[in-house]
Amino acid sequence: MNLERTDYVKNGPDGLKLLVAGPDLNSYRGMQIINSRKFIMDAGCAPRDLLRRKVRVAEYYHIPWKPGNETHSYQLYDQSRDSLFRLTWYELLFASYMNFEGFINATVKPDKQFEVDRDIRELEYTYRNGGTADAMQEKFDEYSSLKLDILILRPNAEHYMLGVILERGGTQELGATFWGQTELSYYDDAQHGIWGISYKYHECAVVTNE
Amino acid sequence: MFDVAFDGYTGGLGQKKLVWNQDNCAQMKESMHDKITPYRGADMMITSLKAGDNKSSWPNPIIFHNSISTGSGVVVCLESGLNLSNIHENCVTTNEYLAETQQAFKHVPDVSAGIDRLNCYWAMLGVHYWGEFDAGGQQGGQAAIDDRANIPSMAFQGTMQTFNGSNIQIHEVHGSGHLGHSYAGCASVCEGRGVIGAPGNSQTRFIRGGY
Repeated sequence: MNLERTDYVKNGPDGLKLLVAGPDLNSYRGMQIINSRKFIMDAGCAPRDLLRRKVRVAEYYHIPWKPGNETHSYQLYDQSRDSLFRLTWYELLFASYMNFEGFINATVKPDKQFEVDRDIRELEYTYRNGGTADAMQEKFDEYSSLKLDILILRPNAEHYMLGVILERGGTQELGATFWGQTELSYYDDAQHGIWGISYKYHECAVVTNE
Repeated sequence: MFDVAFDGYTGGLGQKKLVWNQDNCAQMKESMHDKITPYRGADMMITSLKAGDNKSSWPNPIIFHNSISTGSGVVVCLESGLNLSNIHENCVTTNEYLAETQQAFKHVPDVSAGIDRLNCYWAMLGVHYWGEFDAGGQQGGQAAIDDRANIPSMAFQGTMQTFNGSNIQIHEVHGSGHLGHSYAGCASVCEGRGVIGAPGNSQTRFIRGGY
């Protein structure tokens, strides 16, 4: 690929502005494009573009249990640093530990889970205190309760998104607002000896497909 | 209204893990309720579930909360405004529909063994059903006017590579859905700055499509 050595369109202050703004398209495949503009929505606040909004989406990562998982590590993406990072299966397991202390919520019933979380805590203790791979494996094999699936949820991945509204123009679908003409006229009422001004207008607009 | 291009990352896709205790759960819940300011809560909720017998892969997307009954006011896909009649087979973690789902959809993984534990996690967050976070949820246009984000009820598979003890990659899942596949370098695309240096005078911007 041979790039132009002097690409005037993309260089200079105006070129950079153009790249940030994106291509200026008035139409695309026969469809007219009306660009959005910023409006003041609330007094004292900066104008906002209504076609730019925050959107949260969720991702999940499921690691079904199978023997050998405890030696694996899992690489995920960190967008705040634009890099990949790894977590071992043990780190994931320890992060799933539930500490029920202080919960007075009646819906939290740790009865059956307490044993699992106790085992997680004991295994983590070995890990944090310099447990070798062999020691960890030996300890892990003691706990049949820890052969667990791991489910990682990232429920709030949030971005600003630019949106488009696709509409077919016309009175039937997009609708229309009709506002009639106004008339301002002066007149001379000689009989009563006065001059007057008459202003005629439509009190309401006619809106279709409101 | 369709989201067609990224214009900046504001949070939620980092490395901060939720510590499952009283204080952190309360903070997480508070962060999720605040839909006006950029998200600042924990990025990952890591749960462990008792493994079932069925080891087949999960559907994509999944509905990860434990109730989708219409009576609870949960709307799976608020943007479209549609009632999805065949969403049950994506509900891998439902409680109330489990029996019906497993009967009707034999290919759905068995997560019944993990449901008690998952419900316990949701209870720690004080969540009966996920839709609570988006109570009074609004459709796209109104959300744009109010400058607030919606909380999704479904999750797509994210990008994940698995390495064995010898540091050899043995498995990779390519992300899908709104965010698509993730890789080092795609942040610039999600910041809205991704520009291809195409030959000639043509200008092209990366656009990652929504679902």
